[in-house]
Amino acid sequence: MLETIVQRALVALTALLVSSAAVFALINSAVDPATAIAGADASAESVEIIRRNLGLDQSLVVQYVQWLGRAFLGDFGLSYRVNRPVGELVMQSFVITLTLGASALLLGGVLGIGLGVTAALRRGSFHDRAVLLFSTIGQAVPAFWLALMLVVVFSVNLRWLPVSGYGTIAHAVLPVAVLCLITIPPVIRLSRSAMIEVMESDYIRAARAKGLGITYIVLHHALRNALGPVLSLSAVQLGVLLSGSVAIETVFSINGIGFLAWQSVQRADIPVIQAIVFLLSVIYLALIVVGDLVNSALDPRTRR
Amino acid sequence: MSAVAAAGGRKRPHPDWKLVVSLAILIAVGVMAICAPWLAPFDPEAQQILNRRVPPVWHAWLYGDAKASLLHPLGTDALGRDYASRLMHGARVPLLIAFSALAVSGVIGVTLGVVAGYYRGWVDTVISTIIAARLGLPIMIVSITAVALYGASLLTISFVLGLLLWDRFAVTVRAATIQLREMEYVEAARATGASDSNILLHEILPNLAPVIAVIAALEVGQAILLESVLSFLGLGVQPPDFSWGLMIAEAKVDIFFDPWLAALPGVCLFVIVLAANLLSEWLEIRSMRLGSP
Repeated sequence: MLETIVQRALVALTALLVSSAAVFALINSAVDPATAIAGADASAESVEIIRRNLGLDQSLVVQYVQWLGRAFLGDFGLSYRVNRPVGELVMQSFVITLTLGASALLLGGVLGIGLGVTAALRRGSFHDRAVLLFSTIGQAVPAFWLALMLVVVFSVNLRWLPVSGYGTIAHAVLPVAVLCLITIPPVIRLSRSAMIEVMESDYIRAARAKGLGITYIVLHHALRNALGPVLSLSAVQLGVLLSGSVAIETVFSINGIGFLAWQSVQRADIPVIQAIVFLLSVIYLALIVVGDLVNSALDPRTRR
Repeated sequence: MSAVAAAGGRKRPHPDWKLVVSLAILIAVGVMAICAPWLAPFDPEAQQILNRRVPPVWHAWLYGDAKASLLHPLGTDALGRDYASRLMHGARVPLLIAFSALAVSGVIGVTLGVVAGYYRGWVDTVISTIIAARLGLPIMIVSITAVALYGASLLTISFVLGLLLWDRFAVTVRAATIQLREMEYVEAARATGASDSNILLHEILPNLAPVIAVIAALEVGQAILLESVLSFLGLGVQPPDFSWGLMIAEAKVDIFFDPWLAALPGVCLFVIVLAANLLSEWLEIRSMRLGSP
């Protein structure tokens, strides 16, 4: 078990280094940070002074290693756009995105598992087909467009909810609903297929042959084994929700991490973009590892 | 369709309805996009200042709106451009980008997946780490960064999306290859002295086709959705070029009074992505029925 943990963590750590180096190279080969800081109409001398003072005249490899070293200590430098530490700026907006994403995941996870499991138990029924159709449709709807349409219906026409902003429960209803609809379809699919597989296994047949009630079997035997893969998927889904929030946060004018990324991209605020990508990579890779481990803790068969 | 019939008589909708529906949509949209210059009733750029924001024709039927008519069946936008013509032309960019991105991501993903699954060992470890690195990158944020920094042209967007969407190909093809390499016919080919490249090209790759097709259909839909988000954020193709995502962005300011302007391009996006997903589902069921990996 310990060996597995160490092995997975090593792969994730290497992957983190590879991806952050790739993004570092991508950004630095396109923009000259010194020019970005100095501004478009700065003189050549002042650009050179900035370049020397910030160590931007060193090789990219040296700069990357320095950046990485500081990043692991939580120091991402100063934003070019507003004179504030990047870490502070990113964490402030990250909390908002995480709050929305986690609520959506919780709600969407419960709904998705509920729908998927009940569909699996009555395979081929009207309920099953309706749930599958819902997940097919849900996967094809462009989320940012759905957000706009919900604003039209619930904020403009019915006047039930505010159009945009963040702060109260009413403000959070529409964004969470949209994020929820992104989460539900894959959760439905996986929990349904996992549940079907489990219900056809020998030990469930044995339990049924013993005369145990279906509700008891589902709650005490089947769910435990079917939910492992769903839990690891949910971990991955949280990563998807956190990083996929750009357009939705723009629609609702929420100062989350996606909105911050969009603003920073438009003004070539390199340290902020690098910090956001790094933070999201760390979270995503950690979630994959944790998901795997939870999965193998729940289901001894997946341990290798 | 009733539950009783499904449980008892095994009477279900024909399994191929997904194929029929998706192909009908994909062909219709494809023809519309390719032939837009000849099919569209108006020039998509022609502005009619006196005919701005004409509502679609059903506003005449439902609300008796006198401005709406069959002359502009889907109305006109804020600059008086015929919306039906714009929707037809607006399909070209997303489809072009989606298929170019698919070509890039397919080549990368299938190559990595086959090599990792066939050779295993340290090659597999290296490729699996690369796959993990790709999964760690937040697609949306990296793509807006790359497109903003390198300029929003058809070529950059296609490449950026292609370089970010290969992971599902790699993961699935790798798993399928691991199964295939243990097959008897692969063993037989090896026993007759076939080289690795020969086995990969003639024994493994043809048998991966069903798996690759399932992912390809799915990824076309994903690429179309991603392109629409980029365009919506103003980071996609730039005017005078336009796509459905950009049309939604332009219609956003009119959302309070003319929400149909934003609704229609979104419906188009939804329908084509739905078609791609249905095709993928049909291919998946078919390959499972045929017993492919």
